[in-house]
Amino acid sequence: MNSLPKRIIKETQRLMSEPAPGIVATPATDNLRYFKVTITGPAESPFEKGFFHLELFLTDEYPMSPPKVRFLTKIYHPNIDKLGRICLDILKDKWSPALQIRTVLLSIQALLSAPNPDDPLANDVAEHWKSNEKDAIKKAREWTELYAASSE
Amino acid sequence: MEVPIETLIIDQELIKELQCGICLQLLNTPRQCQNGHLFDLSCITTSLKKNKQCPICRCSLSSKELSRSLFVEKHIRNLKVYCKYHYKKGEPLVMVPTTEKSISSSSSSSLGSFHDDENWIIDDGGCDHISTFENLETHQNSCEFGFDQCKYSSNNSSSNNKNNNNNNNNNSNSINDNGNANANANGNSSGSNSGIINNNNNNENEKENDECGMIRKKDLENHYVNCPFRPTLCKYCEKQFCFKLIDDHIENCDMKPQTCDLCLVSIIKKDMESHLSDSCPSKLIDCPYSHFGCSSKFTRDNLNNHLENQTAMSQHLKFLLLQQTKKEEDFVKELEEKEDKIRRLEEALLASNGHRIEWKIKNVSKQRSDKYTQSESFIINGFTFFLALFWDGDTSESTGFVSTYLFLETSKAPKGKALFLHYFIEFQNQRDRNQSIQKEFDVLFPIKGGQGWGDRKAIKYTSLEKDGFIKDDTLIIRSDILVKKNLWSIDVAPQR
Ligand SMILES: [Zn+2]
Ligand SMILES: [Zn+2]
Ligand SMILES: [Zn+2]
Ligand SMILES: [Zn+2]
Ligand SMILES: [Zn+2]
Ligand SMILES: [Zn+2]
Repeated sequence: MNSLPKRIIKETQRLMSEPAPGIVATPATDNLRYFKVTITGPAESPFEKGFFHLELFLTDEYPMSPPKVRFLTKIYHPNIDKLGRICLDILKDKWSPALQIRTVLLSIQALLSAPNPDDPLANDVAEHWKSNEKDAIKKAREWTELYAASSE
Repeated sequence: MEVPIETLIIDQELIKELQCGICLQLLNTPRQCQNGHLFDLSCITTSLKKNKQCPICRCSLSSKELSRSLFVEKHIRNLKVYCKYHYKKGEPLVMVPTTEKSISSSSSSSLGSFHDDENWIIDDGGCDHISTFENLETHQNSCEFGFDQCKYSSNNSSSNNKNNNNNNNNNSNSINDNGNANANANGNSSGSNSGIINNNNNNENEKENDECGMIRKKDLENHYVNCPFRPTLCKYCEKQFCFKLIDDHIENCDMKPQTCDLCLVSIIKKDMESHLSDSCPSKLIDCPYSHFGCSSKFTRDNLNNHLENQTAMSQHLKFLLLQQTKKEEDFVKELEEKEDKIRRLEEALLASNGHRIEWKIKNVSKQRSDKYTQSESFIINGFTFFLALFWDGDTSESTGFVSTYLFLETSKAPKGKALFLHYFIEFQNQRDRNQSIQKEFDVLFPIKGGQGWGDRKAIKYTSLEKDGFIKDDTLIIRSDILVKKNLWSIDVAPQR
């Protein structure tokens, strides 16, 4: 493995010492490019009080290529599919090397506050959201209680 | 590991404005987009290959559109910085996520922690000089707080260094750049040296003290005066040793003078042994005639007195004579032993290859009247022999003598064979074995024109009678016969 670029060390230091509210990201001890992430569901969203676990991996091309991020906790969200993959432009074509782990995680947190069924990844969930938003939000709440209750 | 440039900058707030938007490090070759976003040339070049826009404002951007910023460059050049010798390496920081209790308490176990090795802390004994970033290199090269290896202990034992750091918490604040230092070695030099010298008595610490470590340049001169490894001359042998070993050396130096316990004269250690054995006047010695028997002992300075003393002199002479006599006796004894050995060897030869005939003639006075007596016959290698005596000689000219012969029974002799015999015939003197008469012969049997061989005048009969040869009217004749050669003369059958 390549030696860790200073940028990653710097980002990690800052993530640890000044974490963004509701976001915890810690590198694995045996691989400092692999982060375990927990995002607390934003208030007034169907994901409130949920603890959503994600994994984040920095490839060798980082920061020229975006980090790979995936939800590990099951979530009912039009932009997140069954496998936890996230539909977010900055993780794909809108990536910029000026973005950081912190900004990526904040964007994901924002995505939980504002689902976007017009740019879906999970089509059936998006349909549900568009046809009966109230019912979809109810289901999302149920899932949050069911799958994201534990901080473990 | 080098202290990062960012750490050296005094006003840390400035870094945020002067760092590359991509690698987050202090700008090295700053370039900006049309909106003034700053990147390092190498970083933005890589990024533009993937995406022709500014990573921050996403304005369209190509390599040609990048511009310098003389203001930023000057700003960086003039940054106020400490030099790297202002810092030392601290213990690695262990960082765990700090956030709401509910998450951190569980995450600390499930998510682990981050070990930040790059923890640079201010070195209290370090350099406080402030220079501009532009002049940093020049200052650091000549900074007297920089480190140098002590020239007297420059053994390249980097493994030892590691041990130091592991074993001793005080040493954990060593700087690992072009200079490697531990706190013990750099502080004030007199203090640290006394510490090292004390440790010398402690074997456990021996390894750690195999070198001085890195010393600040400003302290080197002082260190060299007190360095435990500084070369030091032994005042006795004038050889060079490192200071910490000189006491041990002097203790054992063979050029060191010692006082002789006996004569109290000062002698160089290596000469002490020969002094005692060869020259010390107070050493108790044996008389040179001790192995001839003189048991006198005296100090060496009394040797001449003893040798010139009249009584001792005659005593020594007596010892010498005794010694001479004894030598002669030993020589005679040795000769006798040799003769004895020869005899034993002869007997052994006879025993393996010879025949011993013992012929006891009883009633000599009666036998004698027969003039002639012969022994029983015996066989040697197929030949039949017997011994014979003519009591009053076998011819007129040997009258009064006893003649003795070894006879071959020619009629029974094997054809075509001959024996070469070495033999003697002995008249045993029964009063004194040493007076026995022995006649020796070397003869080839069969004898041409005769039957036997012997001595016509072996012994006078009167001598036989009066000199102790006959005892109880019995005479003993002994004959040892050795076959020296077996000869075969084969008649070749005439050819038809
Ligand atoms: Zn950069
Ligand atoms: Zn820009
Ligand atoms: Zn300095
Ligand atoms: Zn030294
Ligand atoms: Zn010496
Ligand atoms: Zn002496």
